[in-house]
Amino acid sequence: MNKQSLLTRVLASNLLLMGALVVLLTGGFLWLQLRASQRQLELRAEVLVSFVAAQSEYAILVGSETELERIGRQALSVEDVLFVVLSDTAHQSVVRLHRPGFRLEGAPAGSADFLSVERPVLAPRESAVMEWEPKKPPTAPLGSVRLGFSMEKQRTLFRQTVGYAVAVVAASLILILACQSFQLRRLLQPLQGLMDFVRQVGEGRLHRKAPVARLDEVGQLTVAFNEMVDKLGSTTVSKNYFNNIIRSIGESLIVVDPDGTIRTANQATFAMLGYEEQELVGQPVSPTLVDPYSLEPTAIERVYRRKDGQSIPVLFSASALSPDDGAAAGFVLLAHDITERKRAEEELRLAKQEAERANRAKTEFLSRTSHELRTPLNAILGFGQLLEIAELAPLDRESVDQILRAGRHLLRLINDVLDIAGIETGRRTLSPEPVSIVEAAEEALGLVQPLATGRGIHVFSGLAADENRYVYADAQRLQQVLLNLLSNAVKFNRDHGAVILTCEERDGNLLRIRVTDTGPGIAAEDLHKLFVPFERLQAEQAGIEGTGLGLAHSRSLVRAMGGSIGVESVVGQGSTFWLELAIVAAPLLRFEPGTAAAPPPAPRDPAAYTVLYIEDNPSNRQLLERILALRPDIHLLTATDGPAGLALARESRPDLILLDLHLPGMPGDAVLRELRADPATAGIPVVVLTADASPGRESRLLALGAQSFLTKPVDIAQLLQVLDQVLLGELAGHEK
Amino acid sequence: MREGKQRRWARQALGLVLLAAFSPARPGGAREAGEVIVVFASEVPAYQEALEGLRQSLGPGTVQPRFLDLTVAGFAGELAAALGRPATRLVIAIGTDAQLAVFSLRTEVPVLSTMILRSDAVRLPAREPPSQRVAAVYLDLPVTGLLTEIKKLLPGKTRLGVIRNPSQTGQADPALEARARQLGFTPVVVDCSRPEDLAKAFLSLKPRADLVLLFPDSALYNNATVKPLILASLESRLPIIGFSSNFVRAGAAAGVYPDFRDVGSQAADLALRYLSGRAPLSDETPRKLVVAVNQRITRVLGLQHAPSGSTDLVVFR
Repeated sequence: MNKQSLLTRVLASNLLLMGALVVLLTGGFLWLQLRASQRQLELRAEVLVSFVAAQSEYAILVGSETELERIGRQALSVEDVLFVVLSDTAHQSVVRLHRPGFRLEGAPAGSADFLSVERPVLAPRESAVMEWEPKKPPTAPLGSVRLGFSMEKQRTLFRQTVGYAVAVVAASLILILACQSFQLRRLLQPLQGLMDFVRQVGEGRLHRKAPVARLDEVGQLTVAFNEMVDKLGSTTVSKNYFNNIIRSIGESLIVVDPDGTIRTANQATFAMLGYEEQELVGQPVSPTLVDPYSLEPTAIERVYRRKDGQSIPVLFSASALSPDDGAAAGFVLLAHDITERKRAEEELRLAKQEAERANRAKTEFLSRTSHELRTPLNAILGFGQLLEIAELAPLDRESVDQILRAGRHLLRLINDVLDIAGIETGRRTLSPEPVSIVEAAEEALGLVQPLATGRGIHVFSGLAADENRYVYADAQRLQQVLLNLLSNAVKFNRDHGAVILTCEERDGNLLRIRVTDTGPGIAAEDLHKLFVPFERLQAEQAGIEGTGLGLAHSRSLVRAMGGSIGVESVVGQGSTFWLELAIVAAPLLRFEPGTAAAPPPAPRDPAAYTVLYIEDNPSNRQLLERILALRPDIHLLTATDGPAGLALARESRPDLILLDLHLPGMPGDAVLRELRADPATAGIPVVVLTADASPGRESRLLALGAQSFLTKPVDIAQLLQVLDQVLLGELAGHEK
Repeated sequence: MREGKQRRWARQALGLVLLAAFSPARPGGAREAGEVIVVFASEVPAYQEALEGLRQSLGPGTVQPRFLDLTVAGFAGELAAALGRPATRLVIAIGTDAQLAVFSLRTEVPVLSTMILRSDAVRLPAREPPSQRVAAVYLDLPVTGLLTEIKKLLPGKTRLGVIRNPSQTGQADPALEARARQLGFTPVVVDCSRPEDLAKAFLSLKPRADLVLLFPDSALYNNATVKPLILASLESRLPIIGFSSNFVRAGAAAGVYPDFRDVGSQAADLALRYLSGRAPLSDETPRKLVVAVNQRITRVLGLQHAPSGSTDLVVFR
């Protein structure tokens, strides 16, 4: 609709409205005018007829027809009077007078052409001249007066009025419409400018402003338009800004319509997929690229297909565009090319596989080394212990002692290496729990006390007030660490020195346990070497025994328990080793180990028990024969491999089977499975006696049904104790 | 007309008698020993003037006036009850309607009428009880006094025309002509008993009289008949001596009529004399006359009137 049509419509509607209103008002005015004219004539008629009636009173009263005629002629001379009829009731006389040309005879009482008014002539109801007389009731009329009035004059006047009114109304309408047209054109002229402005805005020229000529409604509208265009301009700038941002994004960004059609994409997408913009926009995203509806709105890995068919791994995320009404307006697909990352991951995976393989090889190496070392060591220590028991010359005994000392040292070395390796590789698992620091320290103090006493070193415990302190640790490992630190404090102390064990609460809910000695101290530049494996500093020169793995092992254990370990030292004054562990609340219920003394071993009948030892190594078999020779109540059977052992077990039904693992023909664990699977041998307790102390081995074998797990080199006393417990049925679980 | 009025009042009287018979008598007392019933019609201003004079003259003495307005609803019952009380000693009726209302009850209480023309007074039948005492202070002017005032007013006018209705009591006074001559008038008397003859009778006096004296007569004079009479007076330059102030205002050159207030006062005086036993009831004529002049008419007619002597002169300009 253009301006002309609006103008025409307004003028037409105004013309209709005003025309109807004017016609209504003019009609009403004319009707009122007509009524007023008629009423005026009626009033004139009323006045005249009343006057004539009053005039006629006397004439009728006295019966003067001459007087009546005179009065009638006077009345007829009045303008518009058509006829006069005066009647005298008493005298039965009538005076009829009319204008020339008017036919009085046969004229109706009233018509549209004239107005007929009639009044009775009444007798005087009171005598004013006799003022003392009361009013008298009305009497019968003396006669009547009837006058006829022409309405022609009123009609003529009305016609003239109608003509004038129509002319005035028409002129007024024309004038009003002309004024309105002029005013509307003036009002619409700024709108035309505003329309031109809006058209320019639509063409993108947002920096322009529409001129505000007046501050009327159109002016306010123009101001509002200008403000809107300002905001639109700022919004558009922001849109461009964001478009630039999107274009500059290095990742692929694709906007997809709800029907899966690609609406737009950024340059990174085109570069990554090899499409031109016109090739991709408007195409369905699936199967061209991917199916957006099958995607989760979280980043996942997908594969994009390039134009050349090559697959590109991408880190993909799709999110729905939700406008205000909540309906999906499309999707935004973000994809990050992860080809390089995938390649790196593959390389990493291969490296990991290699590392794992190497680790397995190392573990295998350690296991084999351990086994191979322990096997001869088992014989060395075993026979050494046997010699130690025997009656020997002093020199021989000293030699045996040296053999045993060296063997045990070698055994500790092997154990520490394996333990460190197990912890660092995660194969050794700890069982952290709330541990009483006092109880752990007392155990360690008790073990170190003889060594300290031998050198006159005083060991002080400052933990008396910390009876209720608990730390989160593996109790056995904590005791092991404390023992290491305390034994070091004793070993690296001066004679008659002191070792002080204290603890303090630190920030972060930590408990710092200090072991302070009065030794020579450690130079600052050597402190960092303390926890390096096999780094013994001056220990070798000082003739102090040790493997060089104690502190390294302790640090591994403390770290595994979530704590830390460190040292502070002043040369000439001594050193303080500390470890920090998390403080925890005391356990609600603590298991108190039974203090009742174990029952004494039952009396043993000669050859009351049969023990089958499955072992391929002759030295080990011979060693065990020599050991069990100390127990005449035990009859030993031996087998050199697994099948033979199985057969012998089924045949002889021994009371206990000692099982080596590295057996020719059939591994020990397979033998164990067979034994447990065979009802005939399922109830025979099996004690594993192996040189393979690799981590996890014990738990696996116990799970297969072994009664106990002992490692080589064998500790004769321990072995005999386990045999007694198993044979007497005291050992329900396992024991190392 | 008069017969119709009497029939109407006869019907009203019957109603009043019945009301009086069944109305409970008010308890009497010494206070009502000298009670006077005053019956009037409040709608007539002339009656109000007379009533004021009456009320003023009765004063706050032993007489206890009781005023009954016959235009008020329940008037008939109250009048009957009042007449039935022994203490009621006199009824004063103001106007013809009041007189008719009182006489219709056939009461034995003496009745003093006033503000009536002798010609309009109720004629009591002969069978009325002889003990009834009836008197009136009429509006009819004493002839001597009337002619004297005219003489004083228009001393130069000697030919006195008189239109007289021979059927009306009082107007056929035989002493009129004698008294006129005694006062220096030359009386010319014309009889007229119908309104339609009035103009003719008036115009017949034109060559023979200097002025025309008219007597109050409800049968002849009304609004319709007075207007042509006035016109005739002006056309023939024959002054009319009217009988009321309204007549003078309507166009009579002059008028002589009673002072209504004094008429009431005169009736009160008569009543007091009667009640005190000093005088019996008797008919009287107005003792104070009012002379009025329409100055505009006299100027038109070229009359020169003398200032009034003892009588108040009212001049309408």
